[in-house]
Amino acid sequence: MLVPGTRVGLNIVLYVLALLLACGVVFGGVLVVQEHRDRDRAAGEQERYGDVLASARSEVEAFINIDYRQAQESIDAVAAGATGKFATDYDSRTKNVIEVLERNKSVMDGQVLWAGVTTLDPDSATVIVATTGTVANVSTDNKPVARYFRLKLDLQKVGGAWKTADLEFVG
Amino acid sequence: MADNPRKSRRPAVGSRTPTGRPRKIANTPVEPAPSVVEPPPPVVEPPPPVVEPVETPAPEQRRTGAGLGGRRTTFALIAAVVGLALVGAGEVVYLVRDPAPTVSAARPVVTGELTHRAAVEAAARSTEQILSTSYEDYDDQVDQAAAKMTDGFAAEYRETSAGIRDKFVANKTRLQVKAIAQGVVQASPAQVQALLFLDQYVQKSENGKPSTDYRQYRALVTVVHTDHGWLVSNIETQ
Repeated sequence: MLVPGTRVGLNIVLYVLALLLACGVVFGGVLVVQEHRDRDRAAGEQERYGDVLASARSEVEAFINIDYRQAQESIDAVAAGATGKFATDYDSRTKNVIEVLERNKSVMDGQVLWAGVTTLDPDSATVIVATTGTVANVSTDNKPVARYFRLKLDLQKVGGAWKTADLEFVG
Repeated sequence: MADNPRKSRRPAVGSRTPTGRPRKIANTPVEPAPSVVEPPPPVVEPPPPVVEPVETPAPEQRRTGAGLGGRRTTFALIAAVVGLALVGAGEVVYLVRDPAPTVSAARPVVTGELTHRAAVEAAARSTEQILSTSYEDYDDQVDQAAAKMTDGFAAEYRETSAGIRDKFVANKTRLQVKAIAQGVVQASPAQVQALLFLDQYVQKSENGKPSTDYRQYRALVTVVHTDHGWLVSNIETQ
């Protein structure tokens, strides 16, 4: 059993210790909040890469899978992921594109092989995409011929979704 | 006397009055004895001041109470210290713990931009050097290229290079490869995959006839982080 004087001393030591720990916990709490925010921001940026690549892949898949027998649906699928200049150009050429597809009995079938992000901002990105696939039309006697593409897409974030603002072949 | 064990024969007089009857003294008029022995007037003490009731702890309570020297205080402080220590430990664990996110379709890049940019740049420059070669210093270029690779991939590369060496030198072949576009496909702190668009220029002389060729292709290049920087561990072309 502690004598009162000893207990007072012990309590003072405990009080000081608790005070120091409280200071440490407050400081640690600030660090934890900052770290939590950093991790949230990093997670958001990391997910942005996934979102951009998924949108680019989806748009390119639509772009390289076109069947003259379902020309309008094929065109609509591309237009759904387009915005800006690309959407305007693609829309203005729709009628001609459908005519060309039907006249040549074009069937393009392909898939994305690899896709990589070149640049990425919170609301814009550039992605390069490599595809494999075939194309069959009148000029190939309607036989599928291997066709590989190297594509570059500029994407913009529109209303929370990534859409393709420009698409070009990399020659 | 209280100490006297003998019983007093004197009758008790007025148990309430310790004084006895006054003695009769000669020639002294006898005062009539009071019929009732009046008790002495009570000493009227001043009323105590009105004080709010305060529990004054007994000495034992003082030791076990909430004062600075109290046992309860000790327990409360110990509880506070333990609680704060636990919270602090939790904070340390959170700060030290590396979440180490894994690469997935939803999060293909789990490194900072500087890290994967450096890796992709290393992949592009290394691939250019590995795939560009000349019959004039074929062996030296193989050695230099192998220095950009991991040991396992370098062994494969040397084997392939040795297999085509004679024909390559006989045809006086020059290969020049340029990466015209590059992007990050996947990235973790340990490994990065880069997509490269490559343009290849070939000069050679077959049967004494010089020829040139140009080809476009794509490469998925994997680089791994080592003590010697980013080294190529695989090149897949299509």
